[in-house]
Amino acid sequence: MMAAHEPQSLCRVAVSGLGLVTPIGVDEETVWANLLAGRSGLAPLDDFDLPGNEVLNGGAVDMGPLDALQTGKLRRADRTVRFAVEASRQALAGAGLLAEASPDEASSMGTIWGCGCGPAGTLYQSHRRFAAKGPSGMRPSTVPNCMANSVSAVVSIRYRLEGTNQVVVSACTSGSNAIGLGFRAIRHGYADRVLVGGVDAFFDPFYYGVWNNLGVLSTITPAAQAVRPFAADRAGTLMGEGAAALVLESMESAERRGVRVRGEVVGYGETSDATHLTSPSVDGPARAIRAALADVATEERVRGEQIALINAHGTATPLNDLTESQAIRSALGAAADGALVSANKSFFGHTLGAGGAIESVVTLLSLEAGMAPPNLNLERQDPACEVALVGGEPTRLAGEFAIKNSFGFGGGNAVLVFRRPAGG
Amino acid sequence: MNRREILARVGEAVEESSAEEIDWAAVSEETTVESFGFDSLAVLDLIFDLKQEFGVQIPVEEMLAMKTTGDLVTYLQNHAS
Repeated sequence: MMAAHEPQSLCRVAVSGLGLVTPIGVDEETVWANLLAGRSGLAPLDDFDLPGNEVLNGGAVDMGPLDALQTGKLRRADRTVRFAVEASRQALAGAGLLAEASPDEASSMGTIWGCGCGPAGTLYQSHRRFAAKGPSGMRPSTVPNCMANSVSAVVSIRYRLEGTNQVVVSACTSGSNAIGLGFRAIRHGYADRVLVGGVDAFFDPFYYGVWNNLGVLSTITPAAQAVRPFAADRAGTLMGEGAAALVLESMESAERRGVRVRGEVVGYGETSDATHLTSPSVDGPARAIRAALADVATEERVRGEQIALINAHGTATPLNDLTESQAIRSALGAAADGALVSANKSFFGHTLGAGGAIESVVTLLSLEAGMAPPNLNLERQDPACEVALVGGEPTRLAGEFAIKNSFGFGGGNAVLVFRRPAGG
Repeated sequence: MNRREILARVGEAVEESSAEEIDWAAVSEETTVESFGFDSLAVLDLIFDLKQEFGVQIPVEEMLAMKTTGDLVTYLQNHAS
């Protein structure tokens, strides 16, 4: 057996850099301030050409800051690529690795991204061109520009990350899966540092239109009040776009470099419902929560009572929030009474493959600050959702552990366990 | 088609393929092809776009040998049917 698989050789995994590109800000400070202030990023999608849809509200990223930073071909690249490059830049800079990872100095770091839709805007435009011009009208760069792994490819090239280079495609769990895979790679000694993240951007007429017709979007107006996770009057979700990136590295490496540790990944669990493409189950998510807690190294074993915060998948669809509540209760039992549940999609919308990563960063910021952001639009909790929800104001957190749930179409479930930084 | 018209149509193709922001109004026949920041993939796109625009298939090695936009205009002028 490889030494890397011996339990005693497990490395602790630090988070040393964070990056955010979201509908409520494109830097960590702005996002956190807007979360605490209860300012939603959900609004009419006026900047997009999306005719014929019943719901035209969502969470769009302000491109102004990106336009100021990105030039040339990158500025014309797919939004997923632009978001991922910017989130990566922030995370690498925060970890003190931007200079080291510059084009002049190659890095052994790898990069793993979650992306549910791929470069949706580019795919849409390419298909339009194909319909108009046929195969002979397609430019050679269509192939790499439409690759499902275009995000990790461009990030790897731009920052000279010479380790693993891959994209996980698992719908709404993609971002959390990417973090989990990076966590395992470091924990088991396959890598010292991995840049992980999640991204999606799909406000194009095709992808947005088909989501509209799935019947899961809230018709409540105004948009900022449309998404109501775990509320009795919840009526669905809204779509959002964005990205988040995290630099994961061995604690030994982070301490050696003297870099600020923003938190720790201590457990990861993944399961599949194996029942239905879109209808959520209770069993699959509950097994994922148990698996994530059981994954925590023996000497740090986490009991349910130690979990201060559960950052929920919390889509605000009637079925998800009910089954997620039941899964939390099933996995944690009475300990669920003491774990506050926070759901961020009332701020960002459902950012699909980005969701797990964005909400993981929010989870880390919450642990670091000892404060959970509010749940918006929660006037009356659904009594069938028997969990302890954060209310309409930021709430102090007492413990040092938090879990992040992500559940996806296709039946995938991914749960991460985070620990606040030492001294935090 | 005169050289100015060819240069304008080349410009549209170059702008779509280049890695750099190009102020095409400032481009003359003396502008170097190198300044457009093409990588090998962008060169293939440019060759493709020029074939669509002018019906001229430029061999990769000939494209790579061109120094200025003037060389490109001359090639297209000589080979367009």
